[in-house]
Amino acid sequence: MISYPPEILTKNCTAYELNISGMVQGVGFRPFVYKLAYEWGLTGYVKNTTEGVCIYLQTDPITIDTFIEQIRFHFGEHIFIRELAVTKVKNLNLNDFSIHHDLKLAPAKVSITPDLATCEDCLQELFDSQNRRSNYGYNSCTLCGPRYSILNSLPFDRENTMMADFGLCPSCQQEYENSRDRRFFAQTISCSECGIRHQLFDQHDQEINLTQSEIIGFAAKRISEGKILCIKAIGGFHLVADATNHKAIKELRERKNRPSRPFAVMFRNSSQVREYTEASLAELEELQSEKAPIVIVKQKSGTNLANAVGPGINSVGAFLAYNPFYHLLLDQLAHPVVATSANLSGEPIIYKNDKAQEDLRGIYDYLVTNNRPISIPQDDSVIRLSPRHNKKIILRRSRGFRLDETSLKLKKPVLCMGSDLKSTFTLQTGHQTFISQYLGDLESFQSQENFNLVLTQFRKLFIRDGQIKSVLTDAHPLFYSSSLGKRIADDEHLSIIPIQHHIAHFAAVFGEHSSSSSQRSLGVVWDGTGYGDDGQIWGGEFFLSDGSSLKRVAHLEYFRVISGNRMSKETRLSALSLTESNELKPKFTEREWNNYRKLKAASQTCTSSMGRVFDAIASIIGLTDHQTFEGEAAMLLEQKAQSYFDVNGYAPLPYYTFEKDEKIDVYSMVESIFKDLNLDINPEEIAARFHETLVKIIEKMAQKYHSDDIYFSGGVFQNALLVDLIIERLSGSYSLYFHEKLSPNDENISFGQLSYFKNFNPCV
Amino acid sequence: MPKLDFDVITLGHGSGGVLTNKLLKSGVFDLLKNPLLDTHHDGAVFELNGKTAFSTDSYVISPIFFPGGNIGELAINGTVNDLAMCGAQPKYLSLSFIIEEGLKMTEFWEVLVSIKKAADTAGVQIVTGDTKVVEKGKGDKLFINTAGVGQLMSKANIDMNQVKPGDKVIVSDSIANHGIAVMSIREGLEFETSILSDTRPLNGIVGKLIEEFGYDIHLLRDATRGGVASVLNEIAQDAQVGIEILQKHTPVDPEVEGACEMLGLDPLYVANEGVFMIIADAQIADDIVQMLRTFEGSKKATILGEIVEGHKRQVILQSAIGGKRVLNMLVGEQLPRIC
Ligand SMILES: [Fe+3]
Ligand SMILES: [Mg+2]
Ligand SMILES: [Zn+2]
Ligand SMILES: [Zn+2]
Repeated sequence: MISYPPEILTKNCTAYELNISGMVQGVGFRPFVYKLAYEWGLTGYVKNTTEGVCIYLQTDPITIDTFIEQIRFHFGEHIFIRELAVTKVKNLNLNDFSIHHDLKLAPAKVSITPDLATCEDCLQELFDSQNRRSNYGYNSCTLCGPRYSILNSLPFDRENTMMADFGLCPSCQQEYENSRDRRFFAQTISCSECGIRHQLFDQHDQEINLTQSEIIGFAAKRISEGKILCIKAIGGFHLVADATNHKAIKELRERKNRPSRPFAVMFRNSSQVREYTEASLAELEELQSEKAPIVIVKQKSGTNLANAVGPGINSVGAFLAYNPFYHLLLDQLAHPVVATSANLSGEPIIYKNDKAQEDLRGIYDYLVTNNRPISIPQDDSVIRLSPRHNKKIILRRSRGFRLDETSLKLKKPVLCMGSDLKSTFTLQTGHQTFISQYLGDLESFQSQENFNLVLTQFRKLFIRDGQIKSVLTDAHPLFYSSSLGKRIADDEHLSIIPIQHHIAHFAAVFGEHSSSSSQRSLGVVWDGTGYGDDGQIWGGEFFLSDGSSLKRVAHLEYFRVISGNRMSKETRLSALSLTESNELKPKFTEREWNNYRKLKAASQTCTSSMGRVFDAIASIIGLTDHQTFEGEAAMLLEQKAQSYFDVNGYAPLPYYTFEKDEKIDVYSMVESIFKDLNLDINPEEIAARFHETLVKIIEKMAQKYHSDDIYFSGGVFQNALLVDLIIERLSGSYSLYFHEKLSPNDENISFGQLSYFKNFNPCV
Repeated sequence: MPKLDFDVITLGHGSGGVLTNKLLKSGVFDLLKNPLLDTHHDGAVFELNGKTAFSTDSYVISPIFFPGGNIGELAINGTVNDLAMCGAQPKYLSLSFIIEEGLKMTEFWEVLVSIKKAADTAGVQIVTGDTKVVEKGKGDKLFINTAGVGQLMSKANIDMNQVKPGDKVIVSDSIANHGIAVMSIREGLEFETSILSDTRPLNGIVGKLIEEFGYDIHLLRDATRGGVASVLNEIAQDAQVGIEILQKHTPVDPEVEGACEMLGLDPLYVANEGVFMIIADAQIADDIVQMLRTFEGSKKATILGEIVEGHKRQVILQSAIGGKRVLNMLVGEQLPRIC
């Protein structure tokens, strides 16, 4: 490290201001700058601004350069710097270096730091009986702990967070002020003396009076006895039960009214993960990252993990204890626990103490709350890695993820309302692009309230009132997000632009790669449902773009929608829509068979949905005729096909016929599948050949439209096997673009709307 | 049916000339006979006292015959019920036909007989009318328009402004029967038991309710097109209130429920022809339900929910398994939304 004698540096004094924007708040940046300035004997100050951080230094230009180098070098891995501007300013003749508080209300250019999983140092303190924070369930430091979930306003200073009401005890105060302490200027600093306290209640709301560590012991004991606990975590409450206790998990399913959708399992540490799963090194790395997401990994066979955790599914959503409370709790448990978002069926995660008591009564046996409110609720994030090519696929983007991971330059502030089912919104401030976390299914009233809450919060944090110029929505006429967008536009006299769902999908992945080339690009957008320009339900779409225009060039041959929304719950209806083969008959009663065929004949609505094709195939090869959660059938089909490739390797398989009269004819594909079934080909192989066929369809389209660049979006690309096969077969001849920072599912629609507006809308 | 020298209706029957006369005189006038109609004038002349309600509706249902009824009684009951929902006792109705040429006289007669029966049951007189015949393909067998007047009941105080938080929302009977009956016949669906339309006049029961509870009944609405959910949305918007209803209190007959599932429909959005909603003071809600249940046609009356202070202009359904769902106004068809 370079060190200059202080006397040289203070001589020849001019003054400079460094204005730094990016993810620089709540990450120990100011204390770092302070220490550096102190070591170098520099005078000036550092302060949080609504734009980021401002450093004022009284020194010479060479030192400034070195100073910046040091910042980048030492802090590079923890922070993300967007802009760093140096200006020469008036010398204030300060005699020391200090950290200033300066709160002014202005539009912010700062990033919001996400909640960070407990760091190694804090973890060590927890289990060090000599440390004054041993057993303290809310330990944190400048490098870890809650951020976004406790934020009320910017900048990230204690008084702007849910820590505001917690005064510092003398010891904490001392650490806070001591520039040599690792909690120097740590905004979330606290200890068992002055900090957050948990409370324990039984199922009748009776408080059970125990000490803080007794409560954790009590909770652990009850979990190991098979009880269901409701525990307040970072972004909201979890329901927690012993993951190896089949009875407890079944009971939880019953009480929560969740028949089969897999539960996430929280592990004590990575060695426990390895005991239960086949997690790869790359997967373990994701698990241990400061995001601490749920990672879908393959289960090991023969463990004592309860079957009911994910019935019929051979993978498990694993995550590691990510806050001190969970570390302490799991330390006292022999087994991993199920930790699932505490909510009512279809509703968002519950994050308020009184709401937990109100809504979850009858579901939990014991409730552990604490006295630090959550300001912004978040779910646990979910990701997976494709097994062969380690391609990361985000399934749910929430806790731990940055809000401004994508950038898109647009001068106009624009609000994009997204889609209803996996709702998010995107706020373009005129400087930055903020994409909200996953905000649930907007059919639920509570999700709508949440959506409004977070949207209001974003507007307050990032832009001045009335600054929005346009509102972009999905073209679906019945979406809540669309009607809310319209209301905002009406109230504030803004222009409103509806954008077709799949066009937004394509624009999302296109925009994520900031593609600006005028190369011909093929967009493959496959999902369950979106409202099409022709009033039909789209979902198996191909687009062609030259970088400025965008055209739907092909789609799966339309087939009829039977029974509206019911079709997506009953996979057998998708099968019936594609064939009336007698082999399907046993799936229906006589009366159902007759009625559904009549309904099919009378149906006015058609679909090109790839999601429904997955459903149909899953039904036809006997995997499931009904699904209790979205994507269940597709998941089972993928799993079947994966097990074929696992055993037989990835050599190309013959594909099913799909071309007929220039169309992508799903009917003839289904016909060939029936032929295979009649030849007693096993379901694994059929599922594998089906996946192979999908890749072939993509290849044929790329050839037909002479496109070397292929972009992928839509919920179907949550299928890791499909992604692997696409890479395996096509990466040699084509440039393939998948979502990197966003989920392929409808969470990306809001960003896609923005990207469409920017890249393809001639009126901008 | 009277003896006639024709068995299908032709364009000539709507010309206003000889054939029209033949059609009407052959039995229509006889069937619907009453002193005002008997004058055969261009219009009916009568006296009404006090506040008067006036309503009209056109009926274009296909098919015109469905399980539990036909277009004729629907046309009478519909307007009778609209008047009843205003707190009026319907008295006189007009009746106009637009007939597609080729309609069988037997079918027309069957409709007429139902009209007569429905009018008698409701205690109303048909005092004026009109008949037109259109070319084949320009109609759908038979369209009917009725209009009606009725006198406001003295104790009636039906007014959107009366609706206030705390009021209860009562539904008079099990829902969705009519819509499903029509749809199942239209699509040729079979169910375990046949589902019948609930078309019926509501003025009798409404008269008794207003007699008994008068001012405490704040609003009455029949849940026809768009079903219960659409009516409640209109109320929430017009009265600027929130409405909360409980799924587990929603009366739906099991076979109707099953049919709705098969059709992919939500019974709350399916049309009724003999079900109405009552918004009433909470104190008398139970009594209203008690009284309703003593009548045929409202045996399944129940308190569905209430008017609330929060979430203004929104109708929220507390689902049977926990969550709260927003019941939106239906725009067009029920579109799939699952991704
Ligand atoms: Fe989608
Ligand atoms: Mg009407
Ligand atoms: Zn830490
Ligand atoms: Zn302390």
